[in-house]
Amino acid sequence: MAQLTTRQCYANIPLTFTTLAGDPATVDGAPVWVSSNPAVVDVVVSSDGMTGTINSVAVGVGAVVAVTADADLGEGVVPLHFIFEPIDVVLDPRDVPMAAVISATLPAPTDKA
Amino acid sequence: MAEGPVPSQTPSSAITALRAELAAAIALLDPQIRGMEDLAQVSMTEETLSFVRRDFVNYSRRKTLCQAVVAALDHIEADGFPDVVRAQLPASNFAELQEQRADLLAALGQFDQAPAVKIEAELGEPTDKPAP
Repeated sequence: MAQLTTRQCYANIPLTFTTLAGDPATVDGAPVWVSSNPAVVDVVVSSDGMTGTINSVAVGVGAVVAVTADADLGEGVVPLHFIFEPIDVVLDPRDVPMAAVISATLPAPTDKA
Repeated sequence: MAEGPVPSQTPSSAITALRAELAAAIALLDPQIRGMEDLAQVSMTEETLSFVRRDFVNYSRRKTLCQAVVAALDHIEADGFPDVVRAQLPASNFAELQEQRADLLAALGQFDQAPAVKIEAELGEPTDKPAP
């Protein structure tokens, strides 16, 4: 499980495509990135879809970002999927409300006047 | 037999503008250079004369460079720039090229690009979002 705070992101994540032999490959068009829960994390993608930044939005758990690309280099479509590990978003410590603490100690009792 | 370059029939507007700019610069430099040449003949201290000579050299160099650019523009336009002329070949030569092209296409048709079968990516380390 991956974790972001409400002030963090995973920046400029590059995608790599490989063939069965492990060689670099290309895909047709721009890969599509989707967040399963845009209220928790959203995605900003480069114009060619090859790089994305996952931004935290608000506190939440288990948001999943999936990427789909077309591996068919011709007219057809052969979808190729990748799913990042689920991401939890927690409150950034810098955003935790500051507690004002008042402390006082009773003095030793004395007779009333 | 191959023919030589044909001068451009449609001059580049950028070259035309550059020619005008260079011509204006040369027109401005010419009287300045002549004046400094004359000034160098006047009686003056050696120190003052050295300044006049220095500027004479600088202005003359600038004029020479401008003229060199004009000459280069003459050459590139005589070569046909910016036109790109399609070559016309005798039928037998054209047929030979077409045969070569057909052979190449036949060979290229035997290859397919290996498709992608896997996407790899890593989240990396979290970083602070840029300030809004």
